[in-house]
Amino acid sequence: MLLAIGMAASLCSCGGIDEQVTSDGKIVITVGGAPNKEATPKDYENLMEDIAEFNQIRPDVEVRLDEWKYDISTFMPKAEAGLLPSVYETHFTEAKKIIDLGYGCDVTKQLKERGFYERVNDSILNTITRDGKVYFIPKGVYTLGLMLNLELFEKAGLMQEDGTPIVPETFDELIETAKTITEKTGAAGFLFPTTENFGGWYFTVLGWNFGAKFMGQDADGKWKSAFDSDEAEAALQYLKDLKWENGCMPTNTLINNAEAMKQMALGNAAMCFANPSQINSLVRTYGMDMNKIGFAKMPGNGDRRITLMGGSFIALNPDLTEEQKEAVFDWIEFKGTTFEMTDELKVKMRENMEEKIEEGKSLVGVQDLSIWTEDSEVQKFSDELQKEFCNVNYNHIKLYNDKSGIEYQVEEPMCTQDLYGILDSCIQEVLNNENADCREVLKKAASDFQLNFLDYQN
Amino acid sequence: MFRVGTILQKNSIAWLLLLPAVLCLYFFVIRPQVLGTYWSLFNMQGYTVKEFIGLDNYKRILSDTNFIKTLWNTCQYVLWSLVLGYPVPIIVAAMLNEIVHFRNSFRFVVYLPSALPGVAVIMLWYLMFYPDQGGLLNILLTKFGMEPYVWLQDSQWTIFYIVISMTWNGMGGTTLYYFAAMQGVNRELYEACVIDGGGYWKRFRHITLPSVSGISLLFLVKQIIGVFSITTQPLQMTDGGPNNASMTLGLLAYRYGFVSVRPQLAMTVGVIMFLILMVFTCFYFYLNKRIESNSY
Repeated sequence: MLLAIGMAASLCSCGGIDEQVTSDGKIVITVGGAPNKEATPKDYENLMEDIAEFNQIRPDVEVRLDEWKYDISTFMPKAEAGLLPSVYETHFTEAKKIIDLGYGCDVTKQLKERGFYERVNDSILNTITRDGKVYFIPKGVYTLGLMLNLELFEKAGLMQEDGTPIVPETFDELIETAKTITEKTGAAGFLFPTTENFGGWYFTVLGWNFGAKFMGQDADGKWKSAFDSDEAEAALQYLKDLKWENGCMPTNTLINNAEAMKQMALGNAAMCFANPSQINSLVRTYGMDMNKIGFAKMPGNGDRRITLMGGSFIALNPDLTEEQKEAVFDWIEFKGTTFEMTDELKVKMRENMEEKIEEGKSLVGVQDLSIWTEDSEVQKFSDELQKEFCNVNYNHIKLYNDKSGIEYQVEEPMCTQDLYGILDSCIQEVLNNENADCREVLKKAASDFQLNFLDYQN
Repeated sequence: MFRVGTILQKNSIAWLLLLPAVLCLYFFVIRPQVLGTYWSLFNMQGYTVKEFIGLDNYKRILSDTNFIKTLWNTCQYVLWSLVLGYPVPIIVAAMLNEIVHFRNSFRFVVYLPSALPGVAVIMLWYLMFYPDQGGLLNILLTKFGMEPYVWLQDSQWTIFYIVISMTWNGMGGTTLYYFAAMQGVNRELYEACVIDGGGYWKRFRHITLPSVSGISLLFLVKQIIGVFSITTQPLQMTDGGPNNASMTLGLLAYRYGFVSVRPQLAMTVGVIMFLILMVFTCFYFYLNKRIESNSY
């Protein structure tokens, strides 16, 4: 292992070469996440058409392609070697890490000049701002909700005639719904991933709904773990009861997110926390019928109904020149991340939607939050297209699109992935050990989190 | 300087032939090892070395509340692999050695698991151990009227089951080494034993086993070294769970290096593993030397 890490580090220290301008004076930008020519020829062709069109607006820019997509294990070597593309997409969850590691690109000037800065939703802006500098461009926002296997809902008699699933509004109701499904179908009523930090990620949302706090700062500004509490205990006990008292969780309790999606697609589980982008993996990877997928908003507990706000950001390579940054921003706006609607963009968005429908592998109709403070024309048009091209019974997903009564929260601020890892272990313990004492488990976890991680931040 | 030049010139072909191996050794073993050890004394931002902090990374790792448990888990892998994985190749090789008919076919069957890609083997065993009624082993249990069992999720036995899968995957190659050693035993010894009325057990106990004792000592040390750095199996089968029951030092280093991006801590864990393994490596070289000197 020392060799592996050492090799990665030592090879990365060799550095890389990034051409900024071609010999004929064109500004070079590299676009990450490009489709593979052989694997997805249609997508590749579309991108090439986009580039040709973009070059009519910016003939002085040469767009190059890089198939690399953001990945937690390949990001560091790529970044250290100076081989990051000029522009790539990443997730909300990675923003802090990228800034901490020094690979964030300051785009404050461009955001202000182009009018993005005043229009981006404040809570999103806060997550990408450090010391007054903004490091990312928000691309899309999602909120966690409940993914449903409607075939199991149907079998359990939990579907209305118009195709609207009878979904739990509260976590108490979720137990009843899960029990009904398990009793009537034999499948797990509710599934909760427990590994690769996904358990912890979802557990924070459950905990917030039970009133739990996971960390906070004392009067001296020092970070303290805060989940050795009655509220966090209630949330953990809730999961434990779902498994042992109500028997509506699967026997397998070492489940990562991919396995969770597989179990949902195979009809072995009826409900789980998910975000809308995961729907497509059910269809593309496991061939699930889109009409059997439902989505609803996160249940609540008492007066509160809290969910996590996540999404994707556009990131720039920190080594870009100002000219390259401007070219990248022109490209981003050309590709549709803009609040200003033009006729060309309308045509383009419609064409993209038609292609999606023709391909038949994406569920269209799920609407999410806007990245802008007020509904931009682009967002409004996008929502209209989602409704117009919705390719499933709208009632299957309307309960997710209805955002009334929901409070949004972003991830915990400090040592977040470490927290998730520790919470994974807590969940695994209570789902594997019927006699586990939730409070004791949390007490040790909170202490470990403090001693092993937070103390090193203070 | 003149002498070195002369030596190099005199053995130029030999040096040229050695060069690729030396370069590989430098770039893939020596340089990362030395840099890893050096950088474990620094604070890092990503893979960029920042300030020198002495032994702080070591203090942090050694005072981690889960370190001792992880170290003990790693030792348990080694212990179980010695109980399960160490004798099995010797026994199977001895059986192969005694088989008269279809020996090549049996040899192929024994080696086959080692020829399979590691990830495929891990997936295969993951599905065998799957804890619900769809798991292959649970299908067998339910056929015999028994309740399905949670296998890898029984935290008391998780390591044991992972070691079973490793043994199945890894024993083929080792078995062939033992088999080759057994094939080299003078057949007259066996004949003499048979004439003296010795049965199979006596032949095994007094001829076969002493003949492979040298190589078995080497494999003992190699197995300890190999299993001590186990990472892939727990990563893919349990992700170190349930509740860190199958966590290893290798997996801890992987998480520090590639998940939470604290390569300095990953390197520190690596150095600690390296120091522990150095003891075994020294022992290995000592044994190797003894065995080689005995064989002449």
